[in-house]
Amino acid sequence: MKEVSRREFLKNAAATGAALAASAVLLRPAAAETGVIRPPGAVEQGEFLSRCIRCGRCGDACPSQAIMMFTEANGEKFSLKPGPGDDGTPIVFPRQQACNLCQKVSGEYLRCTEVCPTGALTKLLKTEAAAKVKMGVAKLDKNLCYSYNSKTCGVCIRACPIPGAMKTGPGERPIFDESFCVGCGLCERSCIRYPQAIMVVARV
Amino acid sequence: MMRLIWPRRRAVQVLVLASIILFPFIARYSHYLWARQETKLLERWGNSPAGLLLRGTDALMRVGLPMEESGVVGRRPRKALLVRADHFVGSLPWSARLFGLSLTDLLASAESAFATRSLVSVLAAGAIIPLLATLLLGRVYCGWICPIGLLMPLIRRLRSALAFLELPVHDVRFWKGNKYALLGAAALIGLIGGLPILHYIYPPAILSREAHSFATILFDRAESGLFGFPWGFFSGGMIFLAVVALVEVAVAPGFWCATLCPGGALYSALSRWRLLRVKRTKSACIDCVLCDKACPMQLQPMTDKTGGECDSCGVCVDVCPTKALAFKFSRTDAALMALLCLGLAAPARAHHIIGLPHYAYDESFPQAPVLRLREKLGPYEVILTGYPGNPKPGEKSELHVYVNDPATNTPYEQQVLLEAYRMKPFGFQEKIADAREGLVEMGLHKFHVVYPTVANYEVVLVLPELDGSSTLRFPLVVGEPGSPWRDVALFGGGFLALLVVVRAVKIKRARAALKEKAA
Repeated sequence: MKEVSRREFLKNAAATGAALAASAVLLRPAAAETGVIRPPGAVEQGEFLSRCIRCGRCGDACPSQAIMMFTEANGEKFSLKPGPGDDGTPIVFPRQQACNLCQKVSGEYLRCTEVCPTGALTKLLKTEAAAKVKMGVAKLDKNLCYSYNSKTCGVCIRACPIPGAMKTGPGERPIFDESFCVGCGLCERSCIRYPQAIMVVARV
Repeated sequence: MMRLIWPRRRAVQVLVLASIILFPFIARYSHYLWARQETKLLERWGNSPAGLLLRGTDALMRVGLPMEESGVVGRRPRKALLVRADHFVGSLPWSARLFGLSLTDLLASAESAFATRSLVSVLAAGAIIPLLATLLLGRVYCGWICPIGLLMPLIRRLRSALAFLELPVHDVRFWKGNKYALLGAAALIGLIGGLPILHYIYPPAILSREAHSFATILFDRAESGLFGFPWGFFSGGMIFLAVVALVEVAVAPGFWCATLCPGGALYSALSRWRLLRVKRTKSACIDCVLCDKACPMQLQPMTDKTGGECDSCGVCVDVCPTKALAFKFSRTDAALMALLCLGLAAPARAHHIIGLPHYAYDESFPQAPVLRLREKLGPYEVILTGYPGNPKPGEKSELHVYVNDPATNTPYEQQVLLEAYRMKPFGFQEKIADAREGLVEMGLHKFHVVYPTVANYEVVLVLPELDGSSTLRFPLVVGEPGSPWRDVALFGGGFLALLVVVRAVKIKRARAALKEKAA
């Protein structure tokens, strides 16, 4: 075997260390940059990207087919592009199909969290979903909302499944409380305005 | 009587491959059952590819179930079907839930555990059975489950075509340690960077994902009334697989499984102390080297050099003319088999089902599908919504443009102009709608556009009053045109193939002439 001088060894060690440090910086999953909406029970974004093995079981189990696997093709319709490490991870496009927290199907648990093999989605009881799920948060644009522009609508108030998140104001105006919102997107899906006056965005 | 191993192995592999393709369809089918849409969709989709696949899934799922629900004969047994569909979730070689039992590929589990630097109980539960199987039977996953073990030998048959075309056929053998190096590097990157990366290049993962995205895209498009073949499911992973296949055919047959697959490395390492091994009866061996030549893992069973890398495929056992080679368990085999059976016989999960219809996929629900594109322009955020989301040629479609400053939440009140272009190959464009102003209503600019044909379009928005850049381009697809570059690629590929064939024929003729002369 070739003799390795001390200088050579130190040089190599330094180079390796630098390379590892660079890879640590470069490969760290881009946390919450794209601001996508994950299925219910998802752990924090960076942790989620590490834990998820991109198997698609949650999408298979979802009875509403609200969970899609994020690709460029299906994000295109909503101007969303998968960031580094986002490819093939589960995502919800509330505009296309909102999550109704499995309230209309059998079983004790939210089905996606029940089948997740890695714990990227924490197992949640259906009964505790309203309190624990924080997929995103709805944002209301009062410029667009019919009810805030002297036309009565109130569709989103009726679509909201979470008690306390939406109250009816004068003229069917939605009065919205962020702290209760789970980000299911049923309000966005029900909104009759194009573009939607109420949209779900990721929590930051 | 000779009892051959390969027919059984191939049967298992074909079953697994079929499950990869089938499970996504089952998932979609169960979704339509939940939504009580299956009968309607079967009628509406008719004999299109999506309709046929849905019908096939339906027929397969109903095997052994009478067409009867709550006493009504002729109604689809929805509850029983839902219970049945719940048994098949995910994708068998990557991560699946089979009859309520979680099965996760060891590479997937290891990657997730490394990247998060933790081991959660669900993950460990899914890895138990594969781990036990590997510890007992060795690398059986590679030999019997992994779809690549079935697909690559098929693709390698193209080598005879290469030989026919008189192109050079190589048989390069790489160092088997490569795969361990790759696995180690990926583990290090996962540990430091926190990002699992091997699933991008691990063929079972790629195939599972592709099968899922195929089913998704096929049915999504069918729901929106598009029935063509969904080419869009093709992704970077498939290109990677194609490159591997090309190398397997042209340069190094069997290189992936034997020398580069990180999953193979993990399974090999774990089956170091396996119980099931290929044993050789020395007195019967006639040193014919047939087994060494046949071994797909490039090992030497003739000199007992198999070890952990053997994938228990049984090719050498089949090929041995004197039956000197055979699979042998160590003494504990009976107990271990009992253990495996216990693990596999997990109880089927029964559900009480109270489904209610939900409103997806009804044509009467006008909001879906809607196209929504967002873009930033200066201080403004521009949202373009189109209805319908998948416009049809010749029909009037509506485009709403909402320009808003998110900082102050004030809509843009100035002039907004819209033009539309049809995109052609080589970057050519054809204008189909001149720049015009829309109807302004409640902060929205509303436009009507009629797309003349099935094609790719580009909608261009101009905000002339804005300083700096004032133009935005949004891509739009009408009908199912495919990419304009497809024509170019088809032409180029066809031309190249023609060149190869012409050259091959020329060489053949020259050889024949030479031979004649010699004779």
